[in-house]
Amino acid sequence: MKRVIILLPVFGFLFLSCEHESPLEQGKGLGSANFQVYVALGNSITAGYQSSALYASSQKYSYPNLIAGQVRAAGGTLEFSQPLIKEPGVGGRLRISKVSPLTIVVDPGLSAISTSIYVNASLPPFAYNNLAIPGAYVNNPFTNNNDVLDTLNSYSKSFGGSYGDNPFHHIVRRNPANGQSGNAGSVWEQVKKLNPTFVTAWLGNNDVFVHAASGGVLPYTSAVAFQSQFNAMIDSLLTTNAQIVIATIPDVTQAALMTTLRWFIPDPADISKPLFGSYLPLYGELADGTPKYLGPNDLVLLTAAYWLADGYGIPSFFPGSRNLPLPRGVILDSAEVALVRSLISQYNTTIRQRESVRVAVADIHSTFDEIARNVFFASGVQFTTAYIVGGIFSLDGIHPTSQASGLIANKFMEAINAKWGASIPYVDVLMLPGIPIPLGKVEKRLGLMDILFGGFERSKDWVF
Amino acid sequence: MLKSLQYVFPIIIATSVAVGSGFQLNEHGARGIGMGGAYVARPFDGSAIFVNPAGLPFLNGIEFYGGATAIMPKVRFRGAHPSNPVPETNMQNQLFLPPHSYLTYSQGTFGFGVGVYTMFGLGTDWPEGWAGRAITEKAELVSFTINPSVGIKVSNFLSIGAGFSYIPASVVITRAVKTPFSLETGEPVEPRARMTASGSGIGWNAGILLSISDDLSFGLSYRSKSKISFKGDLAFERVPSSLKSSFSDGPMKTTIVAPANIYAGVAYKPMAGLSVGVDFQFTTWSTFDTLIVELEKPLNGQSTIKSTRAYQNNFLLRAGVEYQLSDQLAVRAGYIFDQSPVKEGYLEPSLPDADRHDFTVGFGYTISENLHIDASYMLVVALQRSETRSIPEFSFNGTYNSTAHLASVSVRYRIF
Repeated sequence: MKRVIILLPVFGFLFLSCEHESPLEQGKGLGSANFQVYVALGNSITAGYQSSALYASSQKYSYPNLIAGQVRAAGGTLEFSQPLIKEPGVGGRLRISKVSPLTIVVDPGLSAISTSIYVNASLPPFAYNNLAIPGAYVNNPFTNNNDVLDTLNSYSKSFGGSYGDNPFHHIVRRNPANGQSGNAGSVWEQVKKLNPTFVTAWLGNNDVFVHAASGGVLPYTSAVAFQSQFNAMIDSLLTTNAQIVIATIPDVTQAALMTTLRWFIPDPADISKPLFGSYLPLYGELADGTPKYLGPNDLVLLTAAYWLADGYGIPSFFPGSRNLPLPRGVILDSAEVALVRSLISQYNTTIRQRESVRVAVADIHSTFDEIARNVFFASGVQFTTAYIVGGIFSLDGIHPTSQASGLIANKFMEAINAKWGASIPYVDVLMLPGIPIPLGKVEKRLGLMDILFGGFERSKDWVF
Repeated sequence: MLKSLQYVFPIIIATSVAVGSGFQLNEHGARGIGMGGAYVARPFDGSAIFVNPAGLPFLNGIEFYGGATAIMPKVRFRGAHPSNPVPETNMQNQLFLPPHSYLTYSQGTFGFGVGVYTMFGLGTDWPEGWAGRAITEKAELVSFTINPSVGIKVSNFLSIGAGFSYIPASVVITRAVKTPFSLETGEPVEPRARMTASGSGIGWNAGILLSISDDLSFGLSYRSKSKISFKGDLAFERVPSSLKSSFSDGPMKTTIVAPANIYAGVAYKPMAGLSVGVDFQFTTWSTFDTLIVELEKPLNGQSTIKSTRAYQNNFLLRAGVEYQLSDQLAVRAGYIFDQSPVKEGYLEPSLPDADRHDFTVGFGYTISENLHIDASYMLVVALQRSETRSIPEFSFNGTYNSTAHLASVSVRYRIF
């Protein structure tokens, strides 16, 4: 009998321990989130705009489309239609044509004023689920600002040059809402027509980004105006029965567009360092138009590369100098930087205050802040704000890559999961595309100056 | 920054053992395994060379003791974090078969011998393309400890022993290197880094056995740390020709310091035929702090790659019984608590470590005067472990569940 007594407890352990082997079931589900009809409002980032253009292969990775895919993975059934545009898209699409020397070219965009630009030319039943309009300010979707009345959907109205005539309104607001023949209706009219159960609305970036990315030339929305317009947006959205997610605004002064070039003449070997180790400042116009030598707190936009290549901004004793300052449109001087940061901070205060039972806030600002501080990693991979190599910015230096779009989608889903007790699985960001490169046979490494003074071709103004 | 497409990527050398904590194996003989490894105070088979060389004088004549341990680890990972959305991934099924063999001579007061076994080894193998591929895909460490030893019975109460170890080893590690690019088809550009290296280290060990009476003995044994220096090559696969210059192959070297171990234990016979042992093992895992890989040919200006491990010293508690049912047959059982040396934040999939409970059973059967066989089975149950504060380098939060089955057979043959 003793023999049995010795062994029994051991076998008892064996049975107990088998419990540990039971498979782990990952919880998947939508909780109380209702994704029956999902509508996304936003600007270029929400539309899936990349490398200065909107095109189907980037729209596929717009963050709302990624969210819709994950919702389906969690068991939801939903349609998510987008105004998919044929390649190479609308806008002047930037593309790496050669890795070494790094050469970026601009593919001429499709005319925005034609139904032939759509991958699927037929009209959506009510409106597209992705109603994001590149260039939209916070109040645009809710006013008829930029509303182009186009009686036959013939897109006959031309893409005028003046600020405010945005061709993407033609492209996105495609269908007459409320049966009003000929009047596409504001985005808000179209939202109501869709009768959404779930809305993501990430707006407000352009209210300050356009200002910053134009070197302070184009206007910004004051914090007071932003507050009233943002609150009006939320109040409007709350009149639907939808669950709502809004998001904070990242610090645009940390974008690759703003941080790649510096205030001094760069060392060709490493543009983050000055030429010959001595800080020879570039010469440029400040906000008031007066030319002066730039200082460490002034930001030089990536778009200045064209001008530098032409000899602007280089002190006169330098070979190739034109003895002309960089125009103010490619410089965000220290006072403008301070203003932009203060606006973003005030906007975010407004945004965060709107969190409520039906409104979740995705804190994109804080995630971007981690990226800018070089402490953001995903599955062992670091993402930084560095131009091209950082993985966050597409070639225009301000719109996210598909992978960054995945990070944004995950941030939204984190907020959704927390708010409505859902377990929507996150996107595997590393499986998403990066910046396309050609498969050239090239031996030389990329040269910095190649991009600065060689490869870039002039393009028309970048569209946000 | 922009001057060239430079990638700063950690090259991970850690290897895993889904069996014992860290990458150390403690199973080097079926008799010991059956008793939960609690036999430093009763090291009376060839594996005394490993556990306590002071046991060598207690063996008989010229003996061979050897066999192998089949190890089947199973690891399941689940992540549900935005930076790591792995639904559920199982490590590839693997079977390891580390052998152990000892050749000993003893004439009662003096004994010596040589042992060959695997102190450090095993590996992890995650499916190709899995979400943690930029941290690890495959890691494999193979080593042998060649360990000549001597033991002397100083008096009826006291025996001492010592040995020297030569440890040849080889390591293969593969992982994906993430680039910010994709091919025009949209497929991400992810070269695979493969490090292949081999090297060797040396170490020593010593032990004491105190036989207070026929029923009571104490054992104490020490095994030094060993610095294993590796030399090899770092090579890249799947590199588009346009990025070749950023990923050039070249020689590398690195060093791993395997930890020192202290074993202390007591064995007691409460009744005829029954022996009970309790052991304490302390492992100085803090030797495994930072991995530094040196590249002979700098890669994008980098000639050293550092990776922090920050292992902590750990302990194992062992308890085992052996009962002699008859002259031929002995049965054994044991239990081990094995504390993980990996602290919070540093848990990563190339070494999915956790506190473990091990349960063992075994038997020994004497077939003839010259031939004896031991067999044992061990179930390793790692406690479910969740990482929620993964350090940035790994940024891999999630939950690991692991188990392992070990089956071991050893044969003792008395040659003379």
